[in-house]
Amino acid sequence: MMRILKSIAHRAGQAYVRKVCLAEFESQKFSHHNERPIEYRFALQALAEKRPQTVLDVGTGTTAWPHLLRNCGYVVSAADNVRDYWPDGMVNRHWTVLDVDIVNPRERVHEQYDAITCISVLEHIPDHVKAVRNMVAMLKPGGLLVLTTPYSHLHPDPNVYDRQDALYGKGVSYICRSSSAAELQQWIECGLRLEHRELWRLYTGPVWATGERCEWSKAQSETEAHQLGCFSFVKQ
Amino acid sequence: MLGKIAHKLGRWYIKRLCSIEYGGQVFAPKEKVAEYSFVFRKLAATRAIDILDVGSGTTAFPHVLRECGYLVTSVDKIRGYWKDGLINRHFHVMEDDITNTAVQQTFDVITCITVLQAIPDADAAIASMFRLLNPGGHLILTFPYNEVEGVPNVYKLPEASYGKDLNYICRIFSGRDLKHWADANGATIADQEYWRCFTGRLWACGERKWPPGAAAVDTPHDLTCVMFRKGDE
Repeated sequence: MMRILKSIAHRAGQAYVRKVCLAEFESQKFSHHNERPIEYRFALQALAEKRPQTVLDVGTGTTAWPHLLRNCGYVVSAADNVRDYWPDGMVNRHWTVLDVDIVNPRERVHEQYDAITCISVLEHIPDHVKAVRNMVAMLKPGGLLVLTTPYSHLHPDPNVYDRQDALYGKGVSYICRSSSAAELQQWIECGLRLEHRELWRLYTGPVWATGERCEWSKAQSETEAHQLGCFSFVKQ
Repeated sequence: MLGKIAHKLGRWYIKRLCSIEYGGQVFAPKEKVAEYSFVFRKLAATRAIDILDVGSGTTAFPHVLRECGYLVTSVDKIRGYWKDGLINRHFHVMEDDITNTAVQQTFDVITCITVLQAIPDADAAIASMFRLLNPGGHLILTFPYNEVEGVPNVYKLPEASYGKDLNYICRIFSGRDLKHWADANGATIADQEYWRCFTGRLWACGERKWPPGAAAVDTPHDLTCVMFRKGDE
């Protein structure tokens, strides 16, 4: 009897999954090329260079990134500040996402991960230094931290969505900081050594989401225009 | 009301699936980190809009492509490869045999990640994929490879460290295969990487190397990541 009930539940669940996936598939529309291919490639390259076994993704949201990492063989955890950023609740159908506020985790953080990825998340956290400090605390010594975020080496902006020339983001309930050399230094002072850095130009304006979207190009130096930073650090 | 209940039950089911997968994790090194890295590097350099992923299986890869903004189609030959059927909870996967495809649309990029080696008529699959590419489009493939020595089914070799009981083949392709595909389909090789994932002479032979090591055409390698461009450069 139990087996029959389980089989019915399984079939009904699979039917639901199919329906959700089909609805998503059929409603696809092209909007623009976003920066994820750059960020995912950078993160995977950084992971491939090291030998992590356990990886934590911070700020997963509804993405399938942790599942992709699992497919690479890592033992993966995912965390997001669900109650504050997703007030109506959030279901990630790809991976279990733990409800953790990286700025104020309820449980004591301890060194447990070989690597942490935080892809286009830090810009939305007001106390970004505390977030980085907690991520560092969660890393084992010598662990890898991969951060990607809006970045202009010489032009910090506490919230690009407040700018007159912002292409989008006006009125959203969260900030989008464009970090600079000063913030980078603050992160390093949390106990990190910068290993790799890539700066990318995605807009014609001075900071993230300003000007127009343009052909992507990697900046060869800090003085060349760029609005996105990809960083990998090692815990000292 | 009924819809709401169905939604809640569906979400509960998904949470449970995720929880079982999450709880059952064991570190299992794979070559995917090198392959996905190659794919995203190449995608970042193209301005593709429509992408076809061939042989998605149960992976979240097509969904991750969608997160990048692309319009994604995903196909897999479900019958024959997936004994109990295939449920991909990440993305809608259409049943299609790429060697005799029913897909009508054409694409800017086609990806086929560690799949080709299990298809007996790989030449037909490649021809189909090129047919489905727009002119100037890119075909991104990864598979077991040795520049000079192709093997019809490496699982049959005595030195293979796994795969003897599997119900599908694992072919090792060579430089000759790549040249044949390019010539037969009016394509050029736009980029190629070589990787060493096993300590033995060929794919699946010896022990897994972790992480996979970048190699060159003239150093030991057992995997390649290659991008073809349809038409001349």
